[in-house]
Parts: sequence; C-alpha cells; structure tokens
Amino acid sequence: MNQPQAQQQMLSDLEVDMMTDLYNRLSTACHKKCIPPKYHEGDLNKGEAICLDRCVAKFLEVHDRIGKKLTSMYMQDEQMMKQMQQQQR
Amino acid sequence: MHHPRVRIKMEGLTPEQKSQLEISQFKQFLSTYNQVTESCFGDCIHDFTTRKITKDESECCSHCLDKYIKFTQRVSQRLQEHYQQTAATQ
Repeated sequence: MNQPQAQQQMLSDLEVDMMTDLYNRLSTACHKKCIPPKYHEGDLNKGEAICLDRCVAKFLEVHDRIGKKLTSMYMQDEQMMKQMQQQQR
Repeated sequence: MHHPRVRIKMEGLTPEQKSQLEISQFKQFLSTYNQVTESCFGDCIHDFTTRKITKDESECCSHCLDKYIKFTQRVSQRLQEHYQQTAATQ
C-alpha cells in the first residue's frame, strides 16, 4: 500500500472506530435514561419509544454542538500560537 | 449489535478489508453479548436464596433481551436517518 492510500485507510478506520464508540456511548446513555429496569413486557412501550427518539436526537445534537465548540476553540488556539510565533521573530 | 454505517461500507472492499471488518463486527457482537448479560442480570436477578433461576427472573431476562433488541433496532434506525440527513445537507 502506498503512502496516501495507507493514510486514507487509517482515516477511514478511525472514522469507523469513532462512530462505533459514539454508538456504544449513545446506546448506554439512552438505555439508562429511557428504559426502566422493570421488564413486565418485551416490547418498547410508547413512552420508552418517544423517550428514545428524543434521547438519540438530543445526544447527536449535543455531540454536534460540542464538536463545533471544540473546533472553534482549537482554531483560536492555532491562531494564537501562530501570532506568538510571528511576534517572537 | 450492528452499526448502520458499517453495513453500508461493506461493498467495494478487498477480501482482506472485508475479513478485518467481519472480525471487528464479531468483536462488537461479543461485547454487546456481555453487556446485555450484565445489564439484564443486574436488573432481573435479585433472589439468591436458591441456585435455580426463578420463573419471574427467567421471564424478566427474556423480556429484557427482547426489549434490548428492539431498543437497538430503533436506535440504529434513528442514527441511520441522522446520517442520511447530514449527508444530504452536505
């Protein structure tokens, strides 16, 4: 495998790992929040189903928001570093 | 149990990549298996005066697993919808 291809592979592996991790965390969180530990029936009841839909949507929205915030913080940091480096010259 | 994005990516892979993917999916399955066992055991098994699993406990466990499977299906479906939406807006 040549260099760019290997890098591409690594990136897509990382993406799959990230998404699997996100899925696992989301599952654990929403199971905890929406499924009470009493199992009178094997079906999701209406309340649980609605809770679950909202939980997934909210989890993903929080994920998006934090992602945006982190990206902007990271960018600010980068710019600061660049400015400091320029000042030192 | 299964990951929505992983299923889509199956096509157009080399045999080596395919077997790697299958291994990681199997790993995910095993870890889910243990997780469900832990969670249903924790929620359903309370009586340690007998060695046998009681009828209530057994029913609870089977409902717990059924519910977990339906839970997983619903979460996967919603996630897939989310990814499709974000892919469409990009």
